[in-house]
Amino acid sequence: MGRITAPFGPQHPVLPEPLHLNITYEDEKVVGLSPAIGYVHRGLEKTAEKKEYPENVFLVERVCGICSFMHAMTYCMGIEELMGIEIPPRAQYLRVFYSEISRLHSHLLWLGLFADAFGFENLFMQYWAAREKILDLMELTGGQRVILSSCAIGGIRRDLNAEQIDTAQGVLMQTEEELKRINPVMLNAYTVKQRTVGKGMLSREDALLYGAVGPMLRASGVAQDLRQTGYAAYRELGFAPVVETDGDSYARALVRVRETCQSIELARKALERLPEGEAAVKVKGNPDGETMQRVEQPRGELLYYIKGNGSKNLERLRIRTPTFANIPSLLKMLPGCEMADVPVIVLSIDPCISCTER
Amino acid sequence: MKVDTIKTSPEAIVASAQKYFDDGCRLVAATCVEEGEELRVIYSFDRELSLENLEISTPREKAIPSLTGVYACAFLIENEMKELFGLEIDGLSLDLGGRMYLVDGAEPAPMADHNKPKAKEDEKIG
Amino acid sequence: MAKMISTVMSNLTHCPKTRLYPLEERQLPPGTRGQIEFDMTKCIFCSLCAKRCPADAITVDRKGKTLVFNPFRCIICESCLEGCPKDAISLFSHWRAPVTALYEQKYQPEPGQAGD
Repeated sequence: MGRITAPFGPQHPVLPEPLHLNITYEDEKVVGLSPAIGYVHRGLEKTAEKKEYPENVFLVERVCGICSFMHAMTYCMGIEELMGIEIPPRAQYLRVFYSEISRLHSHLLWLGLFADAFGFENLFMQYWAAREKILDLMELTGGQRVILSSCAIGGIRRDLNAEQIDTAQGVLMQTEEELKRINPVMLNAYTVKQRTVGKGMLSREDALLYGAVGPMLRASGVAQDLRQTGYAAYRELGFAPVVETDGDSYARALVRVRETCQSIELARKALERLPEGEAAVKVKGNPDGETMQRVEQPRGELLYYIKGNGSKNLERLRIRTPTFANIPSLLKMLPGCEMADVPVIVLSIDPCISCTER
Repeated sequence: MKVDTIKTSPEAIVASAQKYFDDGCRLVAATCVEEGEELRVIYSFDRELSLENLEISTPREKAIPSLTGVYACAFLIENEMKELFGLEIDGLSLDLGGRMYLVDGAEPAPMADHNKPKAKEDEKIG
Repeated sequence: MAKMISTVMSNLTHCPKTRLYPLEERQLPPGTRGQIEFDMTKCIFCSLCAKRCPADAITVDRKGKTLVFNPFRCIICESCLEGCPKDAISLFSHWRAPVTALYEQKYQPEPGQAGD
């Protein structure tokens, strides 16, 4: 039988970002692949060494558009640890609120794209219409639709007033109602199940071997979510990870659907229990020493290694993003599958290439 | 402040990683940091949500063994280190040939030339 | 399936969720980071904004008393607003209109008049 190697991406109708895979097919079956990423490498880690540490907050926000707040938060948490800054409780709760609406909008974006990957365009539009409300909420509270820039070293730059909190509660409640209407279509429709159940299997052992993180890991039955460690205000709010055991594309969609509901709940809880007081503290001095910070992003675990030397410039900033850890699992999931399932499986890892290549 | 690490030698790293793998730990990342003439590589493993680090130091010219035999996911991390820091790695399961991020004709190992004098200049202006 | 039919019906009877953009502009909430502007009656050319700007969009010539602002480098992060000791920079919640050619805005100390 003849073999053919064809590129998948970097420009492909289902891909939101330029992921490039060289896939070898035997007839309609995938037999091998080699990832060739590198389309959007911007050298941000190097740039971060040249900028002053407070400016880097805005730089790391631009590592990824979708989870920009989480990047800024992780960086700030790292710097705060190095400089010994205690941030006020109000800022902790606001950080939870902002991270959860970021997660919500990221998951809704993914659910829409996933529906689009198997050609369910109506569902795609329904999810994105729901997401639009969240983006408006982000604009109202943070000042911009995607890049919030509301996190700063020492707390949160934009405090919420009572009116904004009311609006946010209303929008979150409305979104919950909206999702109750849309989610059953994603989870129960016959066509969706035909395209997702049993596709892209990743067992629990393989998930660990290939270093999968986030919803990938949780869909394979590993109950690991860094929010369990209780950073920001997650300890006070109470948190249990969402776990599925099937390890296929459907399970990954199910994990994300359930996480959207959880995010709404957590964001609303954070707003309800929002303590009074200042939202930021003043920062003086320069970071010295090294630290590692981990945060749960919509796509999984994010790791920052920060090394300062007592000056305004950092010595090293290393960002390990979740998609970087999830791409190797494609090597396990793709070989053996049908050509028509490749887009669905690739999308099920929620690839974010701007993150990966930095 | 320092990151808690267990120091080990490049020769022993594969065996140590195997121990972590047998315990069901997940390889989170490998971080390469340039310290003077030596490169310091910190391997981070996740054990039930807590981070455990192994650390090795190696001169740049000397190749370090690859972890791909233990953790299949290490190939991406190691390719990145190889490309950005010019660290040689022995036994990579999938070698992207230094063309993961960089294009033909690019300056090799862009992260390695840790240009410290220039950083100081920046400070003076700032 | 019945659920989908109700959605289809509501889509038929309701107006579209999109807007005809240039004809119909969305009202942005106050506080939206649209663009920044400098008030030259207040500016003392201390160059703190230029120092704080993470995108290097502002250059200040302290001796020549000129401030050059590149709106296309600006990421509207509000760092300059926070750093300004005289509150000479203000934020507007409307977007800068698209242009066909890049330009820089030059500000000079002309009391009561914002240069362009």
